[in-house]
Amino acid sequence: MALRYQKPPLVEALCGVRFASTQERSWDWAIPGMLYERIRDRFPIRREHHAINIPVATPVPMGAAAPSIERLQFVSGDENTVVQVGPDLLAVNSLRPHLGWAELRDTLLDILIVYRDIASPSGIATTAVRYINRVEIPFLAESGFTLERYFNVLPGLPAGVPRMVTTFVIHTEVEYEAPAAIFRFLFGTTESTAQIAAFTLDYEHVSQESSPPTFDSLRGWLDAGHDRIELAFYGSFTPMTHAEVFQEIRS
Amino acid sequence: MSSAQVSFIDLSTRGTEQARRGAIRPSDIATRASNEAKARYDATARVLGLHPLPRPVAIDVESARWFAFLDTLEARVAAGSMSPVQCSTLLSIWDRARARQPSLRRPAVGVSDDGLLNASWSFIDMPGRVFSMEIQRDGAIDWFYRDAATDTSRGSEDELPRELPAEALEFLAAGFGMNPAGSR
Repeated sequence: MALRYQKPPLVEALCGVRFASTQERSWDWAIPGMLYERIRDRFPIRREHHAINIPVATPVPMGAAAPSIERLQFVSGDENTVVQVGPDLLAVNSLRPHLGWAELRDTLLDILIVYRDIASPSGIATTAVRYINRVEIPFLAESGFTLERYFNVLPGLPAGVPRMVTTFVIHTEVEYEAPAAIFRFLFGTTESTAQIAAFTLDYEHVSQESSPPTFDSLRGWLDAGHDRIELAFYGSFTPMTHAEVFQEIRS
Repeated sequence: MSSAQVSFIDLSTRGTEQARRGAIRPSDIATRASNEAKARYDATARVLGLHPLPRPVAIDVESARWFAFLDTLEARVAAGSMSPVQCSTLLSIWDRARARQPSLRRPAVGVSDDGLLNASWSFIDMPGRVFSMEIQRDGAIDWFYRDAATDTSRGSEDELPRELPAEALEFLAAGFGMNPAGSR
């Protein structure tokens, strides 16, 4: 059952694939251009992306600049959907307002057909589904604020430490089987205002390096990832948050 | 956390400017933390845009219980299960006590069948120490304090006060903060 809200906290949803080496030729920067020619009707805006990204598999030494991963972005006319293409990489991002899971997945799969036709990757190295949420909760001066009212996942503290917190980050990974994946959950405080407490909840479902899905099983793997994220999302918040903060639509 | 578990790169399109700025730069003076662990934390904080909240928030069930009760105050008064005087007396005591002890723990609160508003400070990590009070519908306060460790017992006399006495307030403030006097 899809969750529907009048005020969804979703900031960005994305799914993507990193490919195993191409068979016929090594990856080159002609590939994005060829892809663009075939999807430009739907994604007419071109951008280059040079932002710093953090490939967390390789820890960055303190003080060193994180390496950049360059890629091209093809953006829909309403700028809500972004196709990203880089070396052995294809991803589709859905910004607010969210496309909806089915359309996001199908967009990736549709473009993947085109990409495979152009680049002939030999297989999938890794794939991922990720949902990034920003939850904003007003501070009520008269009744104060306690995390339990809104979240079912809470930071822990040693005994004897005051239970009043200003900053926290929780990063947890668990393993799933059938289909195999790592589920990553990241919950922390983020940029707030004086009247609003803001939190990021980031859910990512990543394939195991040892057992990535095949092209044929990718659709099912992505759906499983989405279902697991949805389950985790629903369990992250109290009924009051679903009802009053996100204004869940029940039908 | 093995590298195999975290091999997908950050493809999100949000917050890149914030990430560039570095939302938080921990001043790490530990000598035993590995560079890898520090780098992971730093990377996570930047990607997440980790920031402090504008004010501290509570993460304990005592607070949740207290705030849930506060949320119902207006409705209870409107329904007649509590009098406006009981409500204002409780809030006044809370404000005065918090002014003396900002980290005062939240009491268990409830309204009895006979209309008494009960509030008690009694915690499993403070064995032998309890402060309780009943606020009657006209605002009269019947209070009691006991600390077994110091063999201290005090409470209201026959004539119930309409305002919590300074002595009682002092017991509350000194005995039930997050780091109260005599606590371990």
